Amino acid sequence: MKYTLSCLCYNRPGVLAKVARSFSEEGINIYSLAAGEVEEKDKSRMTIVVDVDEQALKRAEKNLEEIDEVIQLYDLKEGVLIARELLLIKIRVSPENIPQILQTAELFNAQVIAVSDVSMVLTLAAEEKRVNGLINLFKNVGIIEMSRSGKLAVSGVD
Amino acid sequence: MWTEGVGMEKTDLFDMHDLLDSTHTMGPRLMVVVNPYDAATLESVFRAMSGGAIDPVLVGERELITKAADDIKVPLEDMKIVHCEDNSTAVAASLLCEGKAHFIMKGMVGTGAFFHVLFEPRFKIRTQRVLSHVGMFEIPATKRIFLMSDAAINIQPNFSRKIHIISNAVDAAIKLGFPQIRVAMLAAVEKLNLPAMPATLDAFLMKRFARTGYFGHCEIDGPFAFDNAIDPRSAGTKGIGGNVAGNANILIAPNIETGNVIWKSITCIHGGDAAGVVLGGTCPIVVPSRADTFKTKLDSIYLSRMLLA
Repeated sequence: MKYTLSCLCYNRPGVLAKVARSFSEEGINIYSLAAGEVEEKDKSRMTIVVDVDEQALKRAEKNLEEIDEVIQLYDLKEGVLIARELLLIKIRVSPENIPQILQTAELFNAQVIAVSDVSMVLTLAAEEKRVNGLINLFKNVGIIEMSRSGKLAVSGVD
Repeated sequence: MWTEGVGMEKTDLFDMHDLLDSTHTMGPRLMVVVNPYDAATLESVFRAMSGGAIDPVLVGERELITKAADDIKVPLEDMKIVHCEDNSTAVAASLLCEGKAHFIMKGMVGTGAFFHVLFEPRFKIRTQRVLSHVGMFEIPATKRIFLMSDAAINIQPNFSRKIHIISNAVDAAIKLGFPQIRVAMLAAVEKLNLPAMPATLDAFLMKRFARTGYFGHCEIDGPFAFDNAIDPRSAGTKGIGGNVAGNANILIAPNIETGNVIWKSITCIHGGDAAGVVLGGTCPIVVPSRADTFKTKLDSIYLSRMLLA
């Protein structure tokens, strides 16, 4: 099962390695990890998605809580959290597939941010399943390169 | 200002009224008119009939039609009147559907209500194509007739709708006998500006899409600012190359606001003659604004007559 963890920590060298080790020691593969500064300059938030059973997750959480730089750790529950993922995708363009590409982009509310005679870069900020959907549809067109941020999440509003 | 005739293609059509006058020799077609209660509509219908372009069928309240005709001294003897007190559009649409009329014109009825009834599935007037307004006007200094779309129907067309809009305009240009068709995708600038100016993206990609041959024998280029689409000197000053730059004869507006402002600028400020028609249905649909002059309505009838297969 997939779990989304939100980890608020001090922004210091080596913290990311310690967090990663907390999972690797339990044999857990990190599905995605997105990190960035928060409203306070010396702190960062990591949104970590792992695909594990509950027991392994509890062990990893215990490891995380023992890291000095970790301030707060909590499990963002599906259905309560608000999550988005950012996708940048470069695809092949030919005259024949232009309408199809633009219809697909419109369907997903993806935005074209660069274009040439042979390729196009689109961006989409959406829920993971919509990002996956867009990628799947563009596989037929031809993906040249893509990069996704991993899930970014905050807890839902009260 | 542009220099008169500079860069003008010798094969361009340049006199709108010469072109529209050719309807006089084409033979009349049955045109059904919904609620012709205003002077401009009745007068334009009468003139088009006198010119041999149409045989009118007036649908609406006989008393109102007669009174309006009396007021401007338009004789009704040669016009067929189908009396109905309400839902004239449905009656007119039935005549079209039954083959008792070839095309239709809107009189004193709201555009929304008119289309709502006209496109009821039972009348089979709507097709798979997107409906779009195609306007025709000339700018004397360019010595060229222009078609422009869309100033009236499609509010914020996406790329797919623009394909239909261009197709309708290109088909019209072919039927009107444009020897060369050069389509300019209008925007505010000539360079891609993403994501701020989506019209530049559609223009850039439409040019590439046209390479599939989808639109047949025509050239499509863009994005162009208006002056660089119609004026060779402006295009030359900016170093914009290609056959379409400065020499376009079909202008595709990025949205209804742009199209409408260009259209009204030509007719209101410039005082130029203009004609408009809605295409994409089974027949041309004359949908003038109720405030349009008699001349615009007459030209629109002629334009629609020319576009009948």
